[in-house]
Amino acid sequence: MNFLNMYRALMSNPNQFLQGLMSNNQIANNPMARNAIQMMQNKDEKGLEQMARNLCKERGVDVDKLVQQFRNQLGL
Amino acid sequence: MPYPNNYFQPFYNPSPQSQGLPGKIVNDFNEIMANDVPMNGSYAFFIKGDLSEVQARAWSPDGRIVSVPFKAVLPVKTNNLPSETKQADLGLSEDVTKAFMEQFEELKERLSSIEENFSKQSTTRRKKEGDSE
Repeated sequence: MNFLNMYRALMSNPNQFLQGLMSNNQIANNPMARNAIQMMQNKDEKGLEQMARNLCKERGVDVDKLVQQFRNQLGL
Repeated sequence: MPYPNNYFQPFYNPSPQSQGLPGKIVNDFNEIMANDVPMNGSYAFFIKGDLSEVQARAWSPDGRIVSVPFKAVLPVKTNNLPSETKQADLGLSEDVTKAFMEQFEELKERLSSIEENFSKQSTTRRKKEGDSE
Protein backbone atom coordinates (compact mmCIF):
# COMPACT_ATOMS: atom_id res chain seq x y z
CA MET A 1 0.00 0.00 0.00
CA ASN A 2 1.69 3.21 -1.06
CA PHE A 3 1.50 6.49 0.75
CA LEU A 4 -1.30 7.93 -1.39
CA ASN A 5 -3.53 4.95 -0.81
CA MET A 6 -2.82 5.14 2.88
CA TYR A 7 -3.75 8.81 2.93
CA ARG A 8 -6.98 8.13 1.06
CA ALA A 9 -7.87 5.29 3.42
CA LEU A 10 -7.13 7.47 6.44
CA MET A 11 -9.26 10.34 5.18
CA SER A 12 -12.21 8.24 4.06
CA ASN A 13 -12.58 6.07 7.14
CA PRO A 14 -10.08 6.70 9.94
CA ASN A 15 -11.39 3.98 12.25
CA GLN A 16 -11.22 1.35 9.58
CA PHE A 17 -7.72 2.51 8.71
CA LEU A 18 -6.62 2.17 12.32
CA GLN A 19 -8.20 -1.30 12.55
CA GLY A 20 -6.25 -2.24 9.48
CA LEU A 21 -3.06 -1.04 11.08
CA MET A 22 -3.72 -3.24 14.12
CA SER A 23 -3.94 -6.28 11.91
CA ASN A 24 -0.37 -5.65 10.79
CA ASN A 25 1.89 -8.11 12.63
CA GLN A 26 4.70 -5.66 13.17
CA ILE A 27 2.36 -3.18 14.78
CA ALA A 28 0.41 -5.80 16.70
CA ASN A 29 3.63 -7.12 18.28
CA ASN A 30 4.87 -3.68 19.21
CA PRO A 31 3.42 -2.57 22.57
CA MET A 32 4.11 1.11 21.98
CA ALA A 33 2.57 1.19 18.51
CA ARG A 34 -0.43 -0.78 19.75
CA ASN A 35 -0.93 1.65 22.61
CA ALA A 36 -0.67 4.65 20.27
CA ILE A 37 -3.28 3.25 17.90
CA GLN A 38 -5.61 2.40 20.76
CA MET A 39 -5.31 5.96 22.06
CA MET A 40 -6.07 7.27 18.57
CA GLN A 41 -9.14 5.06 18.39
CA ASN A 42 -10.26 6.27 21.81
CA LYS A 43 -9.40 9.86 20.85
CA ASP A 44 -7.17 10.13 23.90
CA GLU A 45 -5.34 13.33 23.00
CA LYS A 46 -3.74 13.77 26.40
CA GLY A 47 -2.39 10.24 26.36
CA LEU A 48 -0.92 10.74 22.90
CA GLU A 49 0.64 14.03 23.93
CA GLN A 50 2.16 12.43 27.03
CA MET A 51 3.57 9.59 24.95
CA ALA A 52 5.10 12.08 22.53
CA ARG A 53 6.60 14.02 25.44
CA ASN A 54 8.01 10.83 26.97
CA LEU A 55 9.58 9.81 23.66
CA CYS A 56 11.16 13.22 23.23
CA LYS A 57 12.43 13.23 26.80
CA GLU A 58 14.09 9.83 26.35
CA ARG A 59 15.85 11.16 23.28
CA GLY A 60 16.98 14.32 25.04
CA VAL A 61 14.57 16.66 23.23
CA ASP A 62 12.79 19.39 25.18
CA VAL A 63 9.36 19.62 23.56
CA ASP A 64 8.43 22.97 25.05
CA LYS A 65 11.67 24.57 23.84
CA LEU A 66 11.12 23.10 20.42
CA VAL A 67 7.60 24.48 20.20
CA GLN A 68 8.79 27.87 21.37
CA GLN A 69 11.55 27.92 18.75
CA PHE A 70 9.03 26.97 16.10
CA ARG A 71 6.70 29.76 17.18
CA ASN A 72 9.55 32.25 17.21
CA GLN A 73 10.49 31.32 13.70
CA LEU A 74 6.93 31.83 12.57
CA GLY A 75 6.67 35.10 14.46
CA LEU A 76 3.92 33.85 16.74
CA MET B 1 25.55 -42.83 -18.05
CA PRO B 2 27.52 -41.21 -15.31
CA TYR B 3 25.76 -38.45 -13.44
CA PRO B 4 27.67 -35.48 -12.17
CA ASN B 5 28.48 -35.68 -8.49
CA ASN B 6 26.29 -32.79 -7.54
CA TYR B 7 23.20 -33.88 -9.48
CA PHE B 8 21.47 -35.37 -6.47
CA GLN B 9 22.58 -32.66 -4.13
CA PRO B 10 20.38 -32.68 -1.08
CA PHE B 11 18.17 -29.70 -0.49
CA TYR B 12 20.35 -27.01 1.06
CA ASN B 13 19.00 -26.15 4.44
CA PRO B 14 20.83 -23.16 5.73
CA SER B 15 21.46 -23.26 9.45
CA PRO B 16 19.36 -20.73 11.30
CA GLN B 17 21.30 -17.57 11.98
CA SER B 18 21.96 -17.31 15.65
CA GLN B 19 20.77 -13.96 16.86
CA GLY B 20 22.79 -12.44 19.60
CA LEU B 21 21.20 -10.86 22.63
CA PRO B 22 20.51 -7.16 21.97
CA GLY B 23 22.62 -4.86 24.09
CA LYS B 24 26.28 -4.14 24.71
CA ILE B 25 28.99 -3.80 27.32
CA VAL B 26 29.33 -0.29 28.71
CA ASN B 27 31.65 1.43 31.15
CA ASP B 28 28.79 3.51 32.53
CA PHE B 29 25.04 3.18 32.08
CA ASN B 30 24.83 6.85 31.12
CA GLU B 31 26.46 5.91 27.83
CA ILE B 32 23.30 4.10 26.76
CA MET B 33 21.35 5.98 24.08
CA ALA B 34 17.67 5.65 23.30
CA ASN B 35 18.54 4.12 19.92
CA ASP B 36 20.38 1.29 21.66
CA VAL B 37 17.07 -0.01 22.99
CA PRO B 38 14.99 -1.85 20.35
CA MET B 39 11.64 -0.21 19.71
CA ASN B 40 9.75 -3.48 19.30
CA GLY B 41 9.29 -3.79 23.06
CA SER B 42 11.94 -6.45 23.62
CA TYR B 43 14.58 -6.08 26.30
CA ALA B 44 18.19 -5.14 25.60
CA PHE B 45 20.85 -6.13 28.12
CA PHE B 46 23.65 -3.77 29.05
CA ILE B 47 26.53 -5.16 31.04
CA LYS B 48 28.83 -2.95 33.05
CA GLY B 49 32.49 -3.47 32.19
CA ASP B 50 33.45 -4.47 35.72
CA LEU B 51 30.59 -7.04 35.78
CA SER B 52 29.13 -5.46 38.90
CA GLU B 53 25.74 -4.80 37.35
CA VAL B 54 23.55 -5.67 34.39
CA GLN B 55 20.60 -3.57 33.27
CA ALA B 56 17.76 -4.78 31.09
CA ARG B 57 16.06 -1.93 29.26
CA ALA B 58 12.97 -1.80 27.08
CA TRP B 59 10.53 0.75 25.76
CA SER B 60 7.26 0.78 27.69
CA PRO B 61 3.91 1.34 25.88
CA ASP B 62 3.74 4.93 27.13
CA GLY B 63 7.00 5.92 25.45
CA ARG B 64 9.39 5.67 28.38
CA ILE B 65 12.37 3.38 28.79
CA VAL B 66 12.10 1.04 31.77
CA SER B 67 15.21 -0.51 33.22
CA VAL B 68 15.55 -3.58 35.43
CA PRO B 69 18.88 -3.72 37.28
CA PHE B 70 20.63 -6.94 38.24
CA LYS B 71 23.47 -6.57 40.73
CA ALA B 72 26.23 -9.11 41.22
CA VAL B 73 26.21 -11.11 44.45
CA LEU B 74 29.81 -11.32 45.55
CA PRO B 75 31.05 -14.69 46.87
CA VAL B 76 31.59 -15.00 50.65
CA LYS B 77 35.23 -15.19 51.74
CA THR B 78 35.73 -18.39 53.74
CA ASN B 79 38.83 -17.24 55.72
CA ASN B 80 36.93 -14.81 57.90
CA LEU B 81 34.24 -17.20 59.04
CA PRO B 82 33.66 -17.43 62.83
CA SER B 83 34.10 -20.79 64.54
CA GLU B 84 30.35 -21.35 64.85
CA THR B 85 29.98 -20.96 61.09
CA LYS B 86 32.87 -23.36 60.55
CA GLN B 87 31.13 -25.89 62.71
CA ALA B 88 28.01 -25.36 60.68
CA ASP B 89 30.05 -25.93 57.53
CA LEU B 90 31.17 -29.27 58.92
CA GLY B 91 27.52 -30.25 59.19
CA LEU B 92 27.47 -30.40 62.98
CA SER B 93 24.73 -28.70 64.89
CA GLU B 94 25.45 -26.97 68.17
CA ASP B 95 23.77 -29.71 70.25
CA VAL B 96 25.74 -32.48 68.60
CA THR B 97 28.97 -30.60 69.13
CA LYS B 98 28.14 -30.12 72.78
CA ALA B 99 27.38 -33.81 73.24
CA PHE B 100 30.68 -34.80 71.64
CA MET B 101 32.61 -32.37 73.85
CA GLU B 102 30.97 -33.79 76.97
CA GLN B 103 31.96 -37.31 75.94
CA PHE B 104 35.52 -36.17 75.32
CA GLU B 105 35.69 -34.54 78.75
CA GLU B 106 34.47 -37.73 80.40
CA LEU B 107 37.03 -39.82 78.56
CA LYS B 108 39.73 -37.39 79.54
CA GLU B 109 38.80 -37.69 83.21
CA ARG B 110 38.80 -41.51 83.06
CA LEU B 111 42.19 -41.53 81.40
CA SER B 112 43.54 -39.20 84.07
CA SER B 113 42.22 -41.43 86.86
CA ILE B 114 43.67 -44.56 85.18
CA GLU B 115 46.99 -42.79 84.84
CA GLU B 116 46.92 -41.86 88.56
CA ASN B 117 46.09 -45.42 89.62
CA PHE B 118 48.86 -46.80 87.45
CA SER B 119 51.40 -44.42 88.85
CA LYS B 120 50.27 -45.25 92.43
CA GLN B 121 50.56 -48.97 91.74
CA SER B 122 54.03 -48.63 90.29
CA THR B 123 55.11 -46.55 93.31
CA THR B 124 53.75 -49.20 95.74
CA ARG B 125 55.56 -51.98 93.81
CA ARG B 126 58.87 -50.15 94.00
CA LYS B 127 58.45 -49.70 97.77
CA LYS B 128 57.76 -53.41 98.28
CA GLU B 129 60.79 -54.35 96.19
CA GLY B 130 62.89 -51.95 98.16
CA ASP B 131 61.68 -53.39 101.52
CA SER B 132 62.32 -56.99 100.47
CA GLU B 133 65.95 -56.17 99.65
